[in-house]
Amino acid sequence: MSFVSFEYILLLLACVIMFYVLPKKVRFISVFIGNIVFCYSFGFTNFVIVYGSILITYLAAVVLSKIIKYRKSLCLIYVAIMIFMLFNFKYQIFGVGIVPMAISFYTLTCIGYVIDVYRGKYKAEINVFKLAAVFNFFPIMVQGPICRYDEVSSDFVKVKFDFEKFTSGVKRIVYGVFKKLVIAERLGIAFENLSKMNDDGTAIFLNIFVYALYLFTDFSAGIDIAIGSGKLFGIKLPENFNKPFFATSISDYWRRWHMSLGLWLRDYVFYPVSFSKVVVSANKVIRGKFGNAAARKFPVYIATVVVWFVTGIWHGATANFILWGMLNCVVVIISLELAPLYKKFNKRFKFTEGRVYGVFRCVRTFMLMGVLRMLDYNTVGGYFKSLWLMISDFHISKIFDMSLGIATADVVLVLVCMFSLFVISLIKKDRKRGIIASYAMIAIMIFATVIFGMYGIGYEGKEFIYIKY
Amino acid sequence: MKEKNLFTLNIKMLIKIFGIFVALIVLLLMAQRLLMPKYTGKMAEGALTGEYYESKKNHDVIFFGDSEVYYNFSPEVLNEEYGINAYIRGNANQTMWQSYYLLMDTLRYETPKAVVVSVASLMKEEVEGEAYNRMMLDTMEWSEYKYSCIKESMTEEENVISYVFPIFRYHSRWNELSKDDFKYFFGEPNVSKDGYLARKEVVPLTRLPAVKPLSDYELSQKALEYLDKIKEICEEKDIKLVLVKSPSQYPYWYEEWDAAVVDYASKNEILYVNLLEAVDEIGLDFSVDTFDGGKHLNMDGATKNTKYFGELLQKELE
Amino acid sequence: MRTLMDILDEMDLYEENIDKMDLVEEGILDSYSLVALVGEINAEYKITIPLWEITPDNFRTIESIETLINKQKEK
Repeated sequence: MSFVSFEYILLLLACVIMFYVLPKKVRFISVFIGNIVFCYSFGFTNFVIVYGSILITYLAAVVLSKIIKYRKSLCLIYVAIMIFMLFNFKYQIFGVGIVPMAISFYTLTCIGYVIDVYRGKYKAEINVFKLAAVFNFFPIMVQGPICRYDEVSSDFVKVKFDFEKFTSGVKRIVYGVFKKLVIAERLGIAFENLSKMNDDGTAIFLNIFVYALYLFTDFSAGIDIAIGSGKLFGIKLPENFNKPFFATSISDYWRRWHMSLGLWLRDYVFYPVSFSKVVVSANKVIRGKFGNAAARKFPVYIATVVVWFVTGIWHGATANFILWGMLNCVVVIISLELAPLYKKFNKRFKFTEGRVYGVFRCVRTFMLMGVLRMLDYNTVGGYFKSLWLMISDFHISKIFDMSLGIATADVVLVLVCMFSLFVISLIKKDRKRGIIASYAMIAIMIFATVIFGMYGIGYEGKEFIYIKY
Repeated sequence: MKEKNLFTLNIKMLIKIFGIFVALIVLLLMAQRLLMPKYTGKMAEGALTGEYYESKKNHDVIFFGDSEVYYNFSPEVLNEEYGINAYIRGNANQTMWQSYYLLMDTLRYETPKAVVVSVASLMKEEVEGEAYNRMMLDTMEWSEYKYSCIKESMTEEENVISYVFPIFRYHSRWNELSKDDFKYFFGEPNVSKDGYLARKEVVPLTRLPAVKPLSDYELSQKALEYLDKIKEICEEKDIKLVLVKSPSQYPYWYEEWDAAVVDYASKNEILYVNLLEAVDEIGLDFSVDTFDGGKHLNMDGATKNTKYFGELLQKELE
Repeated sequence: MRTLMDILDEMDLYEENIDKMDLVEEGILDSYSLVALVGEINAEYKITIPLWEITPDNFRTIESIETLINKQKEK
């Protein structure tokens, strides 16, 4: 079942109605049913794998909360099993043939839950159906966001029907569908076309922009649909994006992009690694030999390397993704090293406080990120070749003649829409929009999507990019 | 007191929201009309199905078939020469099942004395393509028959919803809108005369493509099934059924097919007229009577053809 | 023995009126500096702040950090 389909809307509506009709204590059944239907639509094997994982998670947590000895070992074994399953199915090591949907996302959610139970953050969930309702919450089973159990589950019982929340949920979903069908699909075609021209430096350069916008509109559209769907149930799912193109540095970018993954990595990789026995004891030696300053850096840098290695592998087990992770890591570490220098520079030169410099930083970050992301769609060899061609074969005049695979009218449409999104993102979000105004916006977006959406005969719909993760 | 205020607030809000969605639907319907292809000029065939509904439903004879009927027979001639009131319900590449459903659609309005069905599509198991489906179905009135016709004709990539709401099919025309789309927003002028498309040009027949033997001369099971259904409903409603093969010089009409039709007609005691065998009696001269090199007759040719066929038809109607 | 303020100063994080600030909101402490700070605190006061105590709330103000340090000292 596709996120942008009538079936999804129908399923969503049916579950929402059931949700508010059922008594509060058994509400989760409506979600549970929705999850099963959605999951099963991806195939029986997929269904078995997903629910198998949830069952294992359930058992691990319940056992962990009962036993006193061997807790750490059990936790580690569980994590190892889940990671093994993730690698196996995702990278087809033992060739099962299918990749379960969203495996990378719900695996992390499950691991986080068990670790939280191990750490004693909250008790294990006794009701396996309730656990399944949360972890397999169908709106997040495409591309996240990655949730924490205590954030999502408590809302089930407490939620009262709120027309305003419901409206904003509908608006968010429509917005996501609009972004996907009107903007992302077109950018996707342009990206595919430009990717084929891998001997043309100008095309490669242009593709940096196209890919960045394509990735963002596609990914955030799916998240919008997920979060909007959650809102219909009165459930607040975590945001994944916070105006990433306004980031002033790479570190800042990663606090604005795929935030649920970043937070997960922080809580379950970055902190544990920094404070692990191995690192702490090594740090004692470092402190003794090289002093306090070095001892402050060492755990941070080690943990950063591990986090970025994991991030790279999470995206893909091929050299290009690992290199991508490592390059990000290098940039981050360099910026950490240079932080005191930057501070002095900024203090000394007043223009750094100005808007122009701010824009410069955003553009710089955007370009740097764009160059790094070329590894998403290149092999390592292709990447360096592309970099070279971009410098050696760039002709600015070619930009306007570039064949993007979409008509000029489509390009204009995309630019108009992107400009509108840009303007909207500048408007402060705290302005409370009236419900009537919201429905007017919903109507406009529906109209625009019906007319301009890339769906129907002649358009081959593209899957959401992150569904394969 | 508080509850009462909330209640009235919600009613007002709901009315406004309802109003917004009504406005949305109106705009979408207007957009749908604007974006639908206007069946004029080169795409005139698309208007054929719909033009029937404007006629006076008191016809003696209705023709069903593909371009071999709507180019080659002229109801005006039938009327002038024989006083027969006829209509041609045909579409480009119309299949036998589409003919059947159009017949059922016609029967909702009238019961003619006779029905003439072109056998040219008997070998077709499938539709020619999505475009032809749309031209045939877009202007058809909604009924159980339209629904069934859609289901029978739909290609894999199509769905029923795009027929219920054509905007889902034609929205992609937003960047192809032409002056015609605006000019004919409230309706196009008629293209046919009682379902007949008149062409006055002359493109003489110079050379026919070589006739290649086929590996299989079986007629389509599906087409035959629906021909049976046509036969049955004609029997039920006491309508005279006539099968016809028009004198189009190509696509080639194989003897094997003809033999099968002759067989079918004799078994079911139906009149079958193969006008290809009567080209001389009709007086057809393919250097002047065709507008596309022998595939279809122009107005002169159609007149001759109708005059000849009309005589046979008149006998059937007695 | 360094004080908390000493450590923050050494880390170049010290600002005027820092004791009145929300360290998380103001961006003074991010995940990197947090790790570094906790490492320094653990080393300096010979305590081990457990992982689950490393939350934004515990490190929101100077006061909350000091409370946390004292809590760990008592263990």
